[in-house]
Amino acid sequence: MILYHVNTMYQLLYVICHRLTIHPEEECCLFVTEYLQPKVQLCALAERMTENGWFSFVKIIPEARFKLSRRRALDESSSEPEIHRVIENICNAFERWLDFDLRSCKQRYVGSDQWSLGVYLLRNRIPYVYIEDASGMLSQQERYLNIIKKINLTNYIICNRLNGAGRSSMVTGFLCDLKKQQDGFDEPRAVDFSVYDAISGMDAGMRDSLLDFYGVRPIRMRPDRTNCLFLTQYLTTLAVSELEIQEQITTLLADYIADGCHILVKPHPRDKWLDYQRVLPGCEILPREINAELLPFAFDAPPDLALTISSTSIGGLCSFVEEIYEFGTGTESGYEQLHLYYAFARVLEHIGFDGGITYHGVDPVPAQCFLRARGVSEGTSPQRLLVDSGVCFENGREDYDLGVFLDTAHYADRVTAETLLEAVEVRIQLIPDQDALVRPMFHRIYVYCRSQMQREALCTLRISRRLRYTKADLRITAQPIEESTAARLAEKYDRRKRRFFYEIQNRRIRSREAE
Amino acid sequence: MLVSPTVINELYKWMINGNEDIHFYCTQLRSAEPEKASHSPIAFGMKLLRANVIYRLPFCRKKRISIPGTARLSECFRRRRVHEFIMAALKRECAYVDAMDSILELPMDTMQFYRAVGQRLRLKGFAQLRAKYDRTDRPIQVIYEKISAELGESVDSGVETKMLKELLDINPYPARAVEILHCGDMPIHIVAETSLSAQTFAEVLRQKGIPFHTVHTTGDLGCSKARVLRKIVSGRNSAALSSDFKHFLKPSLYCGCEPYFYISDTFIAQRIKTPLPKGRFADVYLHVLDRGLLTGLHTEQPEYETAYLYLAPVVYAAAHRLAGEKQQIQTRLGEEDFLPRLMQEEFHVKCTFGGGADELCDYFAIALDRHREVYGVLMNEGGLPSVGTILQDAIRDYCSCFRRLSRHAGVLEQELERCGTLLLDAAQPQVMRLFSQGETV
Repeated sequence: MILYHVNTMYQLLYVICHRLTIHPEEECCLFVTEYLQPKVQLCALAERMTENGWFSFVKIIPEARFKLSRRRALDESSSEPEIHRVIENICNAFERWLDFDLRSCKQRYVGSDQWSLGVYLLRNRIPYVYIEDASGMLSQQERYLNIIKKINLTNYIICNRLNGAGRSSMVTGFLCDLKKQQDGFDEPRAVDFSVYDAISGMDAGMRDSLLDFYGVRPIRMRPDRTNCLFLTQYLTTLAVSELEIQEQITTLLADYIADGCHILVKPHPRDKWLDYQRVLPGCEILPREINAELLPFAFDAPPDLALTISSTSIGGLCSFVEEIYEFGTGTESGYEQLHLYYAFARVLEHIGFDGGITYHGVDPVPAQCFLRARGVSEGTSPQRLLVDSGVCFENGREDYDLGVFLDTAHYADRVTAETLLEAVEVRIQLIPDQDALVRPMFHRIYVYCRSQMQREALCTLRISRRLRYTKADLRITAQPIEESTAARLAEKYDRRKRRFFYEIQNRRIRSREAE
Repeated sequence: MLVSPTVINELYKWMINGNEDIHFYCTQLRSAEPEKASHSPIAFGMKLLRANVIYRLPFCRKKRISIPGTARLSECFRRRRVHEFIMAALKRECAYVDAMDSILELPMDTMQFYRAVGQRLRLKGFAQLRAKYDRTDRPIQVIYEKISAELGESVDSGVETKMLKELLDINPYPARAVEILHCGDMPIHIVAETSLSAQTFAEVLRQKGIPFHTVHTTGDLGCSKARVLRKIVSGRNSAALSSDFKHFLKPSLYCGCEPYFYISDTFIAQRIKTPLPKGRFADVYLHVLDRGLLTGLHTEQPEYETAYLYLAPVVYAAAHRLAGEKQQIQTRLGEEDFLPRLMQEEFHVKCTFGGGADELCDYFAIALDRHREVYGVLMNEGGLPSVGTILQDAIRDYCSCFRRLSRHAGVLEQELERCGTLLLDAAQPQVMRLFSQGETV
């Protein structure tokens, strides 16, 4: 008997594919946590899986009951004996409920081992294969642990105590989508298994029965427009779990990347709290229950682009959609800096930059997304650009033709008068409507150009655009750095910086005299 | 002993028995420690019994609620995120939502509104007459017929309707709760205590973007909203959402609905022992407070009354301003205190902790020091010119930040800028001392 345990809809699809393609002949059983879906739907789902012959039996684990049995909730101040007692209570309750010997299984595949079955296996030192929680999540352990912590603090404490989340020595292997793991991921026990590849390799009959099980219906693209697939996320898994912030990020991304596109919103199965018809008027909402991994088999043609904040499901579309924009987890909390990154891309587009870019102290992911969206290609010319928060630029100024300082706070602190003189100030102003969620904003970025021609070209930059979903106007203007601005920046800091300001003044006076 | 959540819920419903104080007390107890009711049912039950005894005794009824283990009610208040608040309602079949003074609010008292209508109509004494016939269980046409008869000239109700449409404000917190219910495909039945017809009120709701299935107004049905509820509620698997416990949630309990009591900040503020702002400013401030601008999510216990109610708006704005200037601040507070949490969680500014005044020299510093009874914005030499300036700027930022939420921001701004200290004067003097002390740390 092969045992599977799942806690998310992704894991469910994953284990069904695994069972059908890797263990087609063997007897398999499935354990599902009751939080996967509402009770009625979950029972119907379990019945259909048994009827299809995919699993000999499907057991729904009553986690809510075990939650009561643990007798207390844990937090970070809980003592070792308290944690131990709670673990014992969970294991005892689980054992009483279980009428099955887990050790008798030939193989155990467990997803989300912080729930009762995983706790039981860990406490009793029963080996198992760990299934990643979402595509590529195995290499993002810190993010995953934060999500567990947000969803259930007691589970997080127990998970840390027992080395859960795949960190235990009881884990004999990892089932994951290797191609979607982050750079630098190195786990010898990892076994590659991808849903997209598995379904693509299935015979037609098996694939149809799987798609039918999930209720996948054909989805038509609009041939007359650019189609953009937007993958949303479960609010609780975002860094800032506020609906208003989720709404703001959604509208900003749609405005900046999918302006003028036909937007197809695929809500996360648990993303039930935001009315996307209101947030993105005119968009098409795809069925929430279908896994995003199944979308390639439902579309009549690939969408032109796919967009997300940081949904792991985007990984499953890599081989299907040509242009993918994933802004990364940094955007979840730093979404207000999207305007800066957008302005940065517009600056490079304006001056026709196509050289090599080095990032230092700033998140490169959103910058790269905007550059791609604006059609700025990197590395085709010998020009070199440093995008910096102002920390290291002065050390290697000779190596770069351009420098962009996205963090104004450190500007005067780190950049010398020579650089300051050759900088252009780019002002970014966001003016929201009365009923907009975003706040009015004013940012500056400083662009150092060695070439005077580029500097002059940049000074002609004037952009004014409407962010219709965000309900705001964006204005970007560039101008030579004003003496008053330089003075204000220098004023803030100590004499050393003041000296630079005087240097600038003197040099300007000298240059005027020379003129 | 363990008790299932269903049993707890039934017990809980029975114990509340239509008493908003007990409901609020229970909400606080349960949100402070959600699993406690199930894990320690006896202790929890005893607390409920105690609350039942205390709040039903005539001489105790007016007593402020205090939660065991804390000094004041306000100390344990934390507003839940809206989806957490309404999530359980999604399991119900439909929702009955109170509109007036819950999701929609008139940002002035009724008499002021009638005066404004009178001015628009250019009729002297209209406000008094309108107040005389003010009954929400009568259609507006009937009321205006009576007024016309008394004045001896025909008065059109259209002006009042139009003004009402213009002036009604959306209350974002419950409005978002309604949106969540709508996203969950739940039929939403709006009950409005107004003389307007259901058709006119439906137009208002559409204009404000509030989703609904049906609309029922007291004016149309000729009865109070409690009676409206009794007429329209079918089945016992519904949710009821309102900020009016007595006239909406209590009757809905008798109809078998699950009550969702939107506890407004104003409601909390009025129950807190600290002095509230007075006069015209108090109206504006409470209105602002009710917009849910500061959700209280970042507010930890001891700072509630002072920091959240009075100081937080200013500090919030100051912090926002500083966050635009600096990536790092230094504070003498602990990690769990209001300010560091605000700076780190809301503005993603790194905080370093500890150190005396001398060590603040390299950073903009902002400090709240409860133990020294010193609250304020401390600036070092290299900082912005003065505390006064940053405070003024902060007030300006603060106003612009909720301008989108309230048309009264302008009034608030005027009030704040007029003296710059009104907000501070309204709070306890010992709390605010430092603001007048300038830059000396």
